[in-house]
Amino acid sequence: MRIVKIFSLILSIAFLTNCGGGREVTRMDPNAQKDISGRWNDTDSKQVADEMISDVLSRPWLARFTEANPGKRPVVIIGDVTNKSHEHISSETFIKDIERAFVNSGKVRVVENDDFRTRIRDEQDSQQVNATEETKKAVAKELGADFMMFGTINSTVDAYKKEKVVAYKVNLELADLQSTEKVWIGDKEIKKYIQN
Amino acid sequence: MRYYKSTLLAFFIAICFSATANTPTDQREIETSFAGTDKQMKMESILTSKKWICLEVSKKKITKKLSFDIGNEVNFSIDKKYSFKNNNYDYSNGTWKMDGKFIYFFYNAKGTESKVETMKYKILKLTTTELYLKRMSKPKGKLTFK
Repeated sequence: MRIVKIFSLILSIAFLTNCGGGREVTRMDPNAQKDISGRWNDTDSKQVADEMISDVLSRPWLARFTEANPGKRPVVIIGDVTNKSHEHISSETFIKDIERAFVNSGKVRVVENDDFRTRIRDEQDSQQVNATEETKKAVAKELGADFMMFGTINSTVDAYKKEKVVAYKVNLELADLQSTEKVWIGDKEIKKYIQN
Repeated sequence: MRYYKSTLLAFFIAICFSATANTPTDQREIETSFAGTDKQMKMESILTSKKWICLEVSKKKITKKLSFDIGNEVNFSIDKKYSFKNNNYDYSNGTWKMDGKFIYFFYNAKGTESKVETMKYKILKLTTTELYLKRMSKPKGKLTFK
């Protein structure tokens, strides 16, 4: 009887220890590449951003614009990036990186997209009534964009038994708002082999 | 005993056939040996594992003529594309190709023209923490990335 009591005590201690110490969290380098599920992750987003930024800022459209308009920097508006892939992918993560690179480079000016413009206009309208005469901002003084960027994210999945190959393709385009001419097309492909 | 002899004969024939199958017949096959490609694959995986930041430029000419300086970033991706950013926020983008100890960069020429140019570097040292490159075209010089 005594042996049974000791044995049950050991079992309950072991059970409680397992329940309490199941999760371990450690801080890691945000630039480190870590793949767990094989789905789209931060590394993919950073790779897309890095490549798109260096591509869009090194192509001839920028030099052509500054040559045609001396002393003027092109104004770009970032439109929609449609996700047509099989996964939920937030394009905002790499779009914000591209916007940041544009602004920080000092070579391209960026204006807010449709959503934020509506909010800003609401605030401007509010200022016309509520702000003082000296501080209120005038309406209809916005910066018109010269170019618009938009794109798509596509994916293909090839799976059999425990193996899977997923290929993502991100396409971004920059179009002249006046002439509708496509001045730059960038693409990034990411291919993953996942084995369970 | 009869079965033993025939099995032994079949075994020797199999060995002879496998030896002729593995013998390289083409000159190119000899040059790109398994050991060589394996080493290059390892080097390529090290290159693509992180973003490299320039910490040393040996010649002033490189800094003056090419705006290449400490703090420049280069990123090699697995699809053989690279991106480069200098301290003036000038970007360069193109493809890279490793050939033994040499690395080639193919990129679009700056300006309004569309023309592909090439740059050749020799890899002096490549570890997971350090990358030493020697520029082969003028202006020559050495670059240290970490």
